[in-house]
Amino acid sequence: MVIGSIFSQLADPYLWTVVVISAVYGLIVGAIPGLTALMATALLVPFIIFMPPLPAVASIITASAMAIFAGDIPGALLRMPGTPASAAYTDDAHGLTLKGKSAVALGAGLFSSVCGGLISAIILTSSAPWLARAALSFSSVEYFWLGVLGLSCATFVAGPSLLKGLASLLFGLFLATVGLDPVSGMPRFTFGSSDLMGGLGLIPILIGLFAVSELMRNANAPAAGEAANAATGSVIRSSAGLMWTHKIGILRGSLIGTLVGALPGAGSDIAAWISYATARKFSRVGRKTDEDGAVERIMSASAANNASLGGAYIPATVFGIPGDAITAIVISVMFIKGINPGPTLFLNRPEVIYGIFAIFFVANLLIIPLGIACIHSFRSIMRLPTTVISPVILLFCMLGAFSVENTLFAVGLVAVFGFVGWLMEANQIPLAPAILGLILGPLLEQTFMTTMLKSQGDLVTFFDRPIGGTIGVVTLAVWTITIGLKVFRPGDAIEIPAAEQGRAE
Amino acid sequence: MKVNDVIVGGVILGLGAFVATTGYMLRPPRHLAYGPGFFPMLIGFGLMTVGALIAIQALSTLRGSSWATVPEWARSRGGLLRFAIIPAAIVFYIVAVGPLGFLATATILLATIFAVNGVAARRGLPLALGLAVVVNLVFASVLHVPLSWGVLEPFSGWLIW
Repeated sequence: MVIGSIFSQLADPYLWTVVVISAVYGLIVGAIPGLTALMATALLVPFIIFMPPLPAVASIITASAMAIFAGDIPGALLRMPGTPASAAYTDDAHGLTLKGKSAVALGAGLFSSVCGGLISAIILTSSAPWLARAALSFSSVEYFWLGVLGLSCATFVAGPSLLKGLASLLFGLFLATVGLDPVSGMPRFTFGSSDLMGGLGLIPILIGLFAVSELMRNANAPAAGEAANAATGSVIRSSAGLMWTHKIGILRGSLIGTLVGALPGAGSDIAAWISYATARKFSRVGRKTDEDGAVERIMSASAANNASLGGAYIPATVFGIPGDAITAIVISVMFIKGINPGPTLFLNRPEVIYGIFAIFFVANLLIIPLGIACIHSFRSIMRLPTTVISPVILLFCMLGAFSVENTLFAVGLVAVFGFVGWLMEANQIPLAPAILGLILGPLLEQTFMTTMLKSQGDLVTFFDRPIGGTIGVVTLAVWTITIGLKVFRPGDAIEIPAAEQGRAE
Repeated sequence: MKVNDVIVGGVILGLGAFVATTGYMLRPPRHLAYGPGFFPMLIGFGLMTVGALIAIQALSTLRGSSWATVPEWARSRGGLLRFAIIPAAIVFYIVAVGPLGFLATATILLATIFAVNGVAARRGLPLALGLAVVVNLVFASVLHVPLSWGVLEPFSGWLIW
């Protein structure tokens, strides 16, 4: 019954039109250096807000998967990663291009991206229903600790400074408290403004923090160079055979990517860097400095960045807790469309959730034909002048905020948070924890206050349920270990260049 | 613009103090033990602690480091203009879209940014008008976003269906 319903949804020509248009859009945005997959997703919102639920979410899944892959193309050909998720292996990919093997570099990225995406989709489809069944017995205590654990992970992986990550998180939590108090209904931080009564809209803040701040940062960036080394030879012929040789690297990258993606706050850029570092340190082939070693590292990291997208949907669909900023947008779109992500969704509307999972397979398989077409038309994409594109994106930012909220106040929020985001990034304060704090704030406050009121302030209640107590102890242990490591071994951190730290994927 | 972490910590500390004080002033309703200000107060105390720690940590490296570093592009007039035009354009949009309408506002806004980015007026102006018309058509007619027509209200029938 559900399978039949999924196939009938997938047979809808409207859905396919949306998927193909989103794919082309994602490929173009991802291939332009400076424009990120998150920016592509945020700018989709004004369009998908008018669509039925499945095409709306399918559009985000397809555009983000395509953008993450397309980031490899300028990375390999211009040594200028299209998205931060491709930065880890840009040098290796460009090195192959300089040797006249750009088709190998791009093909390795293409096929491993597809494999990574498909493997994470399989893990998502098989693990999410099982986790959802377990989550049905969760109370406010479990959700509170899950929220805290998620926010903790987001803070710890966000950048080199734990304190700045925490500051960003608390700032996001503060923004979430603006508006009416969920328990008593009293207004907070509204200063008598009716615009603030309903709280700060997520989409205008997201567009401001991630899109406008990016435009401000790139306002004086040098223009991308000429694609001097366009892809030569057949991408399929030169790299399809390499898949079997590097199968372990692809599998390892896919598993790392899915796992890292499932951690709230850790996006595809961090997944790619961890997978790249793992391939370089622990793989016999990945340690080599020759072409074989470069391909192994590209395939591991490229599989990881696409796999992380699927991984991020595990906490998003099962618990309603976003794995990254892209799934944060998906969750808010789902809410607007009347679908409440969480374990009951698997019981009440299985056809929607499995339809979403099916789109992962479709989108990742579409990367092969459309990705190859994008590689071959890369020169044309690079001819799009950023001096013209940036103002149009800015216009879409304003229209995006206005379309969702229908007030000019939302457009003002875009300007304010664009500037705040630019200032935060310039001072190495990561943006992702703030967004996750803003999204998880209401859940965290509601579950915290409910538990406090239920127990009349007895903190032991937070630990007296088996699953909730265990997650609570794990969360406290994670905090203790992380702070201990920061105090006693302050030099330890994942080796991610400062420029990439805390950026969206 | 990168400022010294002492200032960053100070700003976060100040924000925390504001949040905690405002939270403290929100009295709980009589029947509730924990009111609307309880959670914000916890956040405020958290912000104050984190801000103080960032500032204290930065104090140890204060000698020899500057209070603020202005980026290279901000030293030229053009660089500053290319940066400032982005927030200025948003403010202009908010102020002008009501009286002028979306089409006129978007055309002026795009043409101005094109000019600041070095696109010649004879190319920038028609491009801005064309783009504004297309965006107006898509958002007003296809997506049914209630865009303002302003002074162009009498001509709205031409571009909307």
